[in-house]
Amino acid sequence: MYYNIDDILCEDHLVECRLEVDLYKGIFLDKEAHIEDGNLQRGHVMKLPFWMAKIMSEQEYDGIQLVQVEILEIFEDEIQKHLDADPTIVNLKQYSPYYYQLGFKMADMIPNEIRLEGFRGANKLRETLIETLKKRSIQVIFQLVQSKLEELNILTEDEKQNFYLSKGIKLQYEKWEQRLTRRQKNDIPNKKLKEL
Amino acid sequence: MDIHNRNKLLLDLKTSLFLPPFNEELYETCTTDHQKSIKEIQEIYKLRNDPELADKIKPIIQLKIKDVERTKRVQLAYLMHRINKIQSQYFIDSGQLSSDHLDQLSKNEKEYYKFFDQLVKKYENDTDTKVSQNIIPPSEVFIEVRVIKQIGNIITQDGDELDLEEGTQQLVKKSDVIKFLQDGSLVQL
Repeated sequence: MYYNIDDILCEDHLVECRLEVDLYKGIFLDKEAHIEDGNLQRGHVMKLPFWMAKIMSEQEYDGIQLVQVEILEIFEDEIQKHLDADPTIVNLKQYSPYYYQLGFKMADMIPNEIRLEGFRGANKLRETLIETLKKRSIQVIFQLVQSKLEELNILTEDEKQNFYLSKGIKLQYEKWEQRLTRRQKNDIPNKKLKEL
Repeated sequence: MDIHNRNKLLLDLKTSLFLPPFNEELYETCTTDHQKSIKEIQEIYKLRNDPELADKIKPIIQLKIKDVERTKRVQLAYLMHRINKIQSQYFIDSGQLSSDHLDQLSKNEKEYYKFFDQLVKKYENDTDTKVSQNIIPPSEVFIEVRVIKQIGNIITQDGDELDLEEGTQQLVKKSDVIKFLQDGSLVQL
């Protein structure tokens, strides 16, 4: 996982965070904040990559968590309800190409017992993501494998991998059905047939 | 914290089938950021003797170190992905990379490829086993190929003439055209 490019790109998704402490020379975290002395004050809101937000939410200064991480909009109740209703029509890629991975990482960051406004909890998020992947795999990916046009733009990276795997299996199955995998074909080009 | 450049370096890798040309400029930018961050950490660390700031600098030093480690991870992932691709393509092409593939490599990667090739050949000589050749037996005597680059007339093993004109699709014996498949002039369909 250390060298995994998808894991690195997934964790670079920006999340909104609120600083809970004064941070000396913290300006490197938010270059758009025009602060002369370079010190960030408590209450400052900024967008950080997910990996940095996770580290800062786990660290403490004087017994206080460094940041409070806001739940991403794409995992809030409203979107979850759309996914519960019909996940096959939702364009997940526009939210994030690593929607599932990011969702599970976000769920791991929030303790299970916490309930926030507009968020049903980490366990519910995990269940929704698993059900969404199951339903989309069966309907969307299966349909695309059958069709001639490969409209992969609506698929996330995980779904694309499943798609290519499914396509490969389908081709292998067709070759096996036609007994092309074992039979040694002695195809003779037309030119040679004419000579014979 | 330059996320944009780091992302661009990795996104480049996902856009091509084999590898894109080595992005020296972006890689150097990441290295420069890395070194700049280390100098900033050293500057802040000097303030540890000031009793007012000694506690305040701890969180920022830890966060800056994490940022430096992140840049290192991105650069290592970039290099590792390229090396793994070179190795896997080497075995797919039966022990030789085509000239098109070699053009995408940096100077250091070309040296690595030569070193890897020598290592594999030495192993093959020592163990008397052809590990770089394709060990999957062919299911067909004749294969369908598309001619990418103009080759012209060649003499086959049976003594026949074969005209490999650019843009044509032909059914040929694999043993007659394996050399052209390896260097990329033909593509098997």
